[in-house]
Amino acid sequence: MWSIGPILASFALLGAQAAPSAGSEHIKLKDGTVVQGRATAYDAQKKVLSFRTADGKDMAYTLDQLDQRSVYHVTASIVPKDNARGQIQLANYARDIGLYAHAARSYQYAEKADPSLKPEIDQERVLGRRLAADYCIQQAQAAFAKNDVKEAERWLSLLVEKLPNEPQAEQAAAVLEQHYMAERNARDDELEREQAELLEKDLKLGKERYDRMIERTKQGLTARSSQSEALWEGAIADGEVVLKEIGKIEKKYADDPRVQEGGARYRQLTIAQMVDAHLHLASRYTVSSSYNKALKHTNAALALDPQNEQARAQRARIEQASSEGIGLNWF
Amino acid sequence: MFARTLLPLFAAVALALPIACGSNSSAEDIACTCGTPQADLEGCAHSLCLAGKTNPDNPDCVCGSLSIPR
Repeated sequence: MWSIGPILASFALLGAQAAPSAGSEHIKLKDGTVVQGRATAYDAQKKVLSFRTADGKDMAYTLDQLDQRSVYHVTASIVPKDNARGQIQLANYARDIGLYAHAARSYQYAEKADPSLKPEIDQERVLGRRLAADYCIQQAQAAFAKNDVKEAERWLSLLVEKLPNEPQAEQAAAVLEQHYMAERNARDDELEREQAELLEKDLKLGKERYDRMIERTKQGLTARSSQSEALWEGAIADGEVVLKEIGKIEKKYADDPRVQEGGARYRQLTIAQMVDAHLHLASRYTVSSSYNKALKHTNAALALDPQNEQARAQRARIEQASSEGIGLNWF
Repeated sequence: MFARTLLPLFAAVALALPIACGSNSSAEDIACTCGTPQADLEGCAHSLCLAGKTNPDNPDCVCGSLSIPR
């Protein structure tokens, strides 16, 4: 495990005479206690953080007393973004305690500050990618253990989309291959039974395209990178046909509440699947830093489902990375 | 008379509210997910985190910097 000591030792005593107001920050101690207040100084030699609590008490905490996230927070607060060496050490620490997003960002700051360090940074990123891939597998396994297949699928998809060249991505693709269709088929099993007649007659094409949309989305997740995009695009095109077909039968059977209800439920399932495909594409495009394409698919997902949290978060991240001029790669 | 007495009180409350609400979060804001496995991996998309600030409402948020004076 990498130590944060050398970074902190390289920064002088900070803010010894400060007397800020209390109440807007927090630190967490190793035992889980959260202390509200404001940091007033940091002594790099002694590795002691001075902290004025919200009720006005002046406290001093050694880094050993803080939980790892707070140690990271203190360190990130004193290492300037343009200090390439400091940012590499900070990134390594963040990576080793599982703060992968923070680590990825600090590697980018380091590279920006001193491009000549890129080979060294890339070496550290290799380890970052491996650890992040392991983390995805662990999270998926934990979700499977709780029978939360949807959550497991999300972790495996993330791994396949964001770290497609890691050996664990193949393992993830194999597990997805096994579970994806079963989970999706289960979603419309009941509806299929209820609407058997309609599916046989008026919604035959729609159902065919619906099944193909799911198959193509799955293939996109399990295929190698270059083919995935075309498969997800195809899945979205299938989804559009399904929505049109649903529209047609809703018009034809305008007075039949059972058909109307079935149509609404199929529309919901189709939209959810199309949103998935758009987000897979957006996620993949962020890996290649194709902001415009990523944004286009995130917006398309939001046009279908304006409250989708994942899409809203994705859009915010893309816009931020684009305005900051940094990549969206994990590592 | 009554309105004149209450006016300073309303003004004080109106001024105090935005200051007290440290996170500036609104219903439209994306939830702060700092501290969750997903945010550890992908990053948090809450507006404060994206702006490089710490969310004072979430003790697990380590975005931005503490105000250690330099």
